[in-house]
Amino acid sequence: MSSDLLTGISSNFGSVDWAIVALYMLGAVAIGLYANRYIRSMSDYIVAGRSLKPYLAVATMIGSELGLVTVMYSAQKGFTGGFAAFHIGLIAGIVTLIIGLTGFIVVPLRELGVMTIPEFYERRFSRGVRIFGGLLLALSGILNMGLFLKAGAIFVAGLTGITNPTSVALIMTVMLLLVLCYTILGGMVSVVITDYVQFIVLSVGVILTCGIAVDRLGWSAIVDTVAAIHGEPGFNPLHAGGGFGPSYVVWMIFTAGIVSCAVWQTAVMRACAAENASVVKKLYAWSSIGFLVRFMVPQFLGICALVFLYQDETTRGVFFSPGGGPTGNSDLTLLAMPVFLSQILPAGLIGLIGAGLLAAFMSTHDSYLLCWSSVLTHDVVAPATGDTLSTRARLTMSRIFIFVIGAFLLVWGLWYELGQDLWDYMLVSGAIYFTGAFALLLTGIYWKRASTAGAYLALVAGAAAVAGLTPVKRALGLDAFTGAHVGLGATVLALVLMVLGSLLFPDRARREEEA
Amino acid sequence: MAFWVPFWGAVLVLGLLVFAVVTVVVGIGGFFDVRSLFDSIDRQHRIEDEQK
Repeated sequence: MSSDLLTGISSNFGSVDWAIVALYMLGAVAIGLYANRYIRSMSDYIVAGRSLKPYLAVATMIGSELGLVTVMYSAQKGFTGGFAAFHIGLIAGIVTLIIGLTGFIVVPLRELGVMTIPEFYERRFSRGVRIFGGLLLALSGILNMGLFLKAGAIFVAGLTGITNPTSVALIMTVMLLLVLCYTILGGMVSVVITDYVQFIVLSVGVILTCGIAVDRLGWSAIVDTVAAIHGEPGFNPLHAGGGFGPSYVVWMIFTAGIVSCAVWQTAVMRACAAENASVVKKLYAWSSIGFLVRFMVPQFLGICALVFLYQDETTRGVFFSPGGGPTGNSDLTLLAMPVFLSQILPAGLIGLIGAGLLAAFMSTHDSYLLCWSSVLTHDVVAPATGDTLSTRARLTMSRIFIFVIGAFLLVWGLWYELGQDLWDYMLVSGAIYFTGAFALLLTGIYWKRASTAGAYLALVAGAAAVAGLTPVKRALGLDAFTGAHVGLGATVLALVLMVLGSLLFPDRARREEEA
Repeated sequence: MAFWVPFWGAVLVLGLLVFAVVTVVVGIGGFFDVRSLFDSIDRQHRIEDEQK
């Protein structure tokens, strides 16, 4: 495993840094305990009583989305793709700004007063669509976060230089338990407060780290080394010879752009928690810069890692193939950025950045755990049992789901072999839900004739995106297609079936209206 | 490459500068919003208690 290869590579991470990290983590748990006194209802627990004002909404949105996993997969994209990877952040920023200015999808959702997207499915289509859509959403979301722990473990190993896999696993388990503790206790209230603190620490940390990296390596050396390793594809995202190309860029417009801010449940939850529609628009307009930076800055650190590790003979032998290009081992390309940070940041600062990123790791976990457990309780179990569950039973069930999902994450993170860039894994696993969900949201909000039958067909078609996962692709003999091809195909299929299903099988109320 | 190098350099610098400003503004504004959040939830609970 990658940790064996770390032997001989030192780290600046020392006892002062461990103390900073420990204090930070204990502080997060204290916030959870404090926030617990504000939790009385499901609305307090899931959307913080719908009381988020603009600045806190922006901080929590960026804080949640700028997680350790985002930093890890974006840095990996920068390492493997060079400057061309910046197109992902640029697209994300521009599309989020457009959504903030127009209110596309998110404002109608907030005005409906729903807490989750499947709740919208029931209002617009039927209870069955809500249960089926909720189940798909939760399964896809849980699968999507399945490798978060693994990414976190690689980060800890790379940053601290700990080479013993058991020690890394122990650290990750303790961290997961801390997250479970404060999420179970404090719900959305503790999530927004920890997200706010993490936003401040991490924002200052990443800006500072970029400055140190450029100062250490030099801008010209960075550009020249990327040109030497990647050539033209390292700068031009439309160049088909690299890891991207036109179809990948289109896939990014859909996924990193529209989906990540207007369809993905964790982002939509922020819109649903906002005080009103005007706050939603401000939230998205302000967050657009966060959506740009959350991809671009870690990608830049990945590029700096590429340059730094290429310059050293020892690390070049580990992180690069004999031909001079980055290694094809995805665990190693994930490891590059934390190893780079462990080498260039001084003691104390590395602890602060490490604490910020580990807090980011916890922050993403808490948001996602809360999100998927809420969906399972609120959109699958509750409607399936005829809405007879009391508030107390729902809160208890959400907390049980959080615990069960946590246990799954431990097992899946150890078992699943990545075989592709983490970002691409996350897109494909997320696509199981969002390709169908996009069709339902788009037509459900903006097309009166969208019907329940069409909704079912679109959800089933969207789930076909699972074929984009590397092991599934291999099993089906689809190696010639990329995840982008499969995802775009599933998106188009879901939209076509939504329209055809709605035209061929309209809802009874509409049929009667037309008759 | 002659186009892309200065382009990505400008996007990176501009992005970082704007993000630094957003961090300061949102950091200060967010602090007051946290206090307002607790007040608002407390108020909602008081109204619920009065209605019972």
